[in-house]
Amino acid sequence: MPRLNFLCFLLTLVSMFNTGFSQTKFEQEFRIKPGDVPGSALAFIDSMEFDRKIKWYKEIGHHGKSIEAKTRFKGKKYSVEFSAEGVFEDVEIEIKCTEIPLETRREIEKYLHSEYTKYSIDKIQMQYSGTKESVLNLIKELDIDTKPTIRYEIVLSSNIDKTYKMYEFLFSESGDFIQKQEIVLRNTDNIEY
Amino acid sequence: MKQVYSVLILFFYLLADAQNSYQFGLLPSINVNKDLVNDWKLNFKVESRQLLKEGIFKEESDFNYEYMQTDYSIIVSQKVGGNKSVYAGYLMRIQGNKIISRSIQQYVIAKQYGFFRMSHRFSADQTFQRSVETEYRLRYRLSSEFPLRGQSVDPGEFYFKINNEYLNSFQGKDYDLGIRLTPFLGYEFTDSNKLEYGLEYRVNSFIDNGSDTDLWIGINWFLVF
Repeated sequence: MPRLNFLCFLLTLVSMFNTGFSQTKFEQEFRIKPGDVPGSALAFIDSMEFDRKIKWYKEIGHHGKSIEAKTRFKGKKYSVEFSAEGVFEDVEIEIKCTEIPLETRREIEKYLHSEYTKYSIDKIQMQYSGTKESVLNLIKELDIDTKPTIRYEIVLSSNIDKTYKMYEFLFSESGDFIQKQEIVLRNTDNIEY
Repeated sequence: MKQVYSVLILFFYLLADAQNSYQFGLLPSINVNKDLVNDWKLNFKVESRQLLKEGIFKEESDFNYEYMQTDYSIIVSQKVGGNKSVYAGYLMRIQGNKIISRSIQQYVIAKQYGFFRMSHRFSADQTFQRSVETEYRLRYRLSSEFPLRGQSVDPGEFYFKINNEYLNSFQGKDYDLGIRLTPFLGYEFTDSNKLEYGLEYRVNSFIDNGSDTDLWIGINWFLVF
């Protein structure tokens, strides 16, 4: 009996070997050293005068390669994105719901309530894009002539047709809907069972 | 990783008292998951336990391979929130000529926190065996998974996983506490195919004077169809 059970276990193991691999979206990001970052990206991060360690990442996905600098500044999580060549793209700052101006928040909530009866917000990021100077001046709270483009990125989950789904929404500074993307959730079986 | 194993083995020996018994062996498992409609999921698990060495600490004993048991379990789960699920299942343990049955109920919260993932598992189980009083257990397990490069675990990457579980056991008038610490090194072939290798350190009969200390070498294979 024990031998039979062990044999069953081995057979199950072997029989699954050929079918275990499946196709998934290929997207990888990995830590890189500052020495591997284009000079223009390094110079921009230096000009932001962050006071904590900067972690650099390279992301390879369907949209090509990009470079990202992550740090904490004034108690908030900052993420600065660049193209693979080091051209500045945007700055994302994680914020709380109450940090969105009241009028904008009302507009966003109005839109989300029209889409879902019930939802739960997982993450909110304020996104600054535009010229490097305008973004830099806004972050440093300096007087600015040209304002960067401000957007709000909201990640939420909701039950749609008896299935929980996660979405990333993008809203304008005034709370107008711009776009919505479904987030493909990673499998959590190995931390559940 | 070597440091983690060294610390664990050191911990294992420090806790070991001259009167305490120990077991050391292999604990491989296959975990097969099937996604169903409307956030229902099925999980099949086969776990085999094989003893390599046992005895009393600080006493001589030889390596002696012995097949111990195999557990077959099936668990059905339903999502009740973006990152919360409830589970119910049945486990059959074949141990020599004995068949032991266990019913299982679980509630799990699994979430991504920045660069790592964490889950809280609250579970209850009832173990039924002929001529033996039913054992009731209340368990809590904290699991964390850390990528070894980048901000999340991607296909083709290694990760580190650590579980810490506390088990309260009630059997007749007896109560006992068990503690488990499980560090694993994992490799993600794809999101639906992961292999983990590590140690499962268990201290049972924690309340009694003479505790049982187990160290199992675990190899877990997680598959999704």
